[in-house]
Order: sequence, then structure tokens, then C-alpha cells
Amino acid sequence: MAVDESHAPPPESLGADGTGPKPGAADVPSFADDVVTPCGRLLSRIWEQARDTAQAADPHISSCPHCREAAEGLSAVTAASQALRTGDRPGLEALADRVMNIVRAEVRLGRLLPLADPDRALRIAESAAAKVLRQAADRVPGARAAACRFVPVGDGVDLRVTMTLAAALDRPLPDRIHQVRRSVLRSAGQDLGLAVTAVDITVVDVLEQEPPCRPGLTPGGA
Amino acid sequence: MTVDRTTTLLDTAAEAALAVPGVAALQPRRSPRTAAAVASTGTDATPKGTRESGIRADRSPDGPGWRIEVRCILSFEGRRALEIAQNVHDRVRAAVISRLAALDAVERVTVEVTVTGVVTRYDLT
Repeated sequence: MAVDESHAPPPESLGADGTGPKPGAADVPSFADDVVTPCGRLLSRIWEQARDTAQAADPHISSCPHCREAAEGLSAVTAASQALRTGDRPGLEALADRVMNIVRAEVRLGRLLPLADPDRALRIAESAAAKVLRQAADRVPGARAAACRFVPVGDGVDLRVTMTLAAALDRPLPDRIHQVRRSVLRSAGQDLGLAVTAVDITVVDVLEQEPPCRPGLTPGGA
Repeated sequence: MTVDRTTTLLDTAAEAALAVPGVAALQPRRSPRTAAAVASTGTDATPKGTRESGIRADRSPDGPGWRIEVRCILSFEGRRALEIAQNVHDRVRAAVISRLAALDAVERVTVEVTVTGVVTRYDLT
């Protein structure tokens, strides 16, 4: 369901499908946190109709996809609250697991970083960008990335990367770190399109032996 | 014109986004996924939601018009994430404007694109 959570009535009358009715004077929020759907209906009104089968059906609510989706979502809430009242423990635990999986997945996304286009609103989740840059670091033989974080630089789209990694000691560390930095910078620009201005690398562990090269990868990177 | 015969803005935006090369899927937002999770009685631990649940359509907070948010997962073999996201932005915006125009509603449309995940060739080996 896509809803306008600003709690303000929509500024004008066209539904999302262009055919929805005009929200009238009756669509004044009945409480402060009431929500307006994209077609201009109040969520409280949709719920009233969904619960009160004796009430005369509003033809818009039964035909509008936004209202139907909202009504279905509210029916699900009703079913869940009934499950709570009846104390169905296996059902409750399964429900809690499902909801927590979604919450964890949302948290794992991390912050949203700006892609290097100041004219459009384009962002990438920190977790997705970090995954790509860690793979870029791992392409350097004798290096294995651990954490990868991003720090905004100024008010624009520039970013600074901070990365920790484990490295083998068969070569001087500065050379290997330089290679990793180059690989990360190249991937940030060529694979992602992030404006990374600097890569800070901290070696936090020693690789006892070089990890086997993954199939299809050329030693030395990119 | 009835609602059932009309492609909604969410449908239009989802279709336009999924047609962009490099877009693997739309990432359902938290609220529809939570609603699906609550509604689900099966063993699926992570209900996926519909493709439209990766799109959010709101009235613009700063005046008439629409604000469309697209959350997508990319498979960007050979393409930059930036260029795919630009393509999604431009195609979704054009498709929604065109859809509104077909409904005699000329309105301002702003689009936000969020890349929530990437599938790389290393994920497939």
C-alpha cells in the first residue's frame, strides 16, 4: 500500500488512477494520525467500511486498487489481533519471526548514499555499495576485506571510504594497501558511480596464507 | 474508464522500472512486506509482496504533483549502477507523466531511485 503519511488531505482531487473521486468535505481526518491514500481517501474511512458490512458500500472503495489494498492490509491486522487475543503461541512466534526478518532486512540496508548525479535523486544502500567494494578489495591477492563504511564529505555527493582488511605479509604492506586502494577506487567509479574522494585502509589482521583465487578472476584485480 | 481497465501509477512505474536493462527486481518496502507477513499463514519466512510494493506514490508535500519512489535490486554486469539508476529515473518519470497525460492530468512528477541490492558475477560462482 502506498500512502501519504503526511496526514494532510491531498491538495487536489484526482485519484492515482485518474478516476478516483474527489475527496470531499467529509474526508476530514477524524484523528491526528489518520492517513490519506494516494486516491484521497482516509484510512479510517476505509477501515470503517471494511469492518461494517451493514454500512452502504462505497463503490469507489470497492473498485479502487489503493483502497482495496488498504482494506486487505487492515484485514490482515484484524486477523493478527484476533490471533493475539486467542493466544495461538505457534502462530504468534511464526508471525514474530516473519516481522523480525523484515525488520532485520531493513536495518541491514544501512544508510542511503548519494550516487554521483547531483541533478537526480539517486541513492544506493550502504550495504549494497560496501559489498561491491569489498569484492574489489578481495580481488587483490593477499587481501581480504572486512568492514567497509562510508563517510559523507561536505554537502554534495562526495564520499570517503574507510575499510579494514586482513593482509598477507609475503610482500610489503604499503604496496598491497596501495593496490587495494586503487582497486576500490576503480570499482567505486566504474561499477557503482560513487564519487569516492579517498579510501582509508586499516590492516587489522594477518592472512596466514593467500586465499585461493576464485574461478574467473585474474590475479592482480579488475 | 473504470479502475479495472486503467493501469495505475504504481503499475506504470513498476513496469517502466523493470523494463530497464540491469534491473533484476523491485525491492518491496517495509510496510507492504510487513502487511504480507502478518497476512501470511504459511511457512514462508519472508513474504515477498507484489512488484508494485517496490514503488511508493505520494502526493508531493510541496505543492501539486506526485512523488514516486522506486526501490530496485540491480544486476549490473557490464553497466554502472549509476547509469542504470539514471535510466530508471528517466523512464519511470516519462511513463508516469505520459500516464497522467492520458488521464488529462498534467502534473509535476519527481522520482527518487534507491538501489537496495546488487547481484554481481561473484554471487553466481
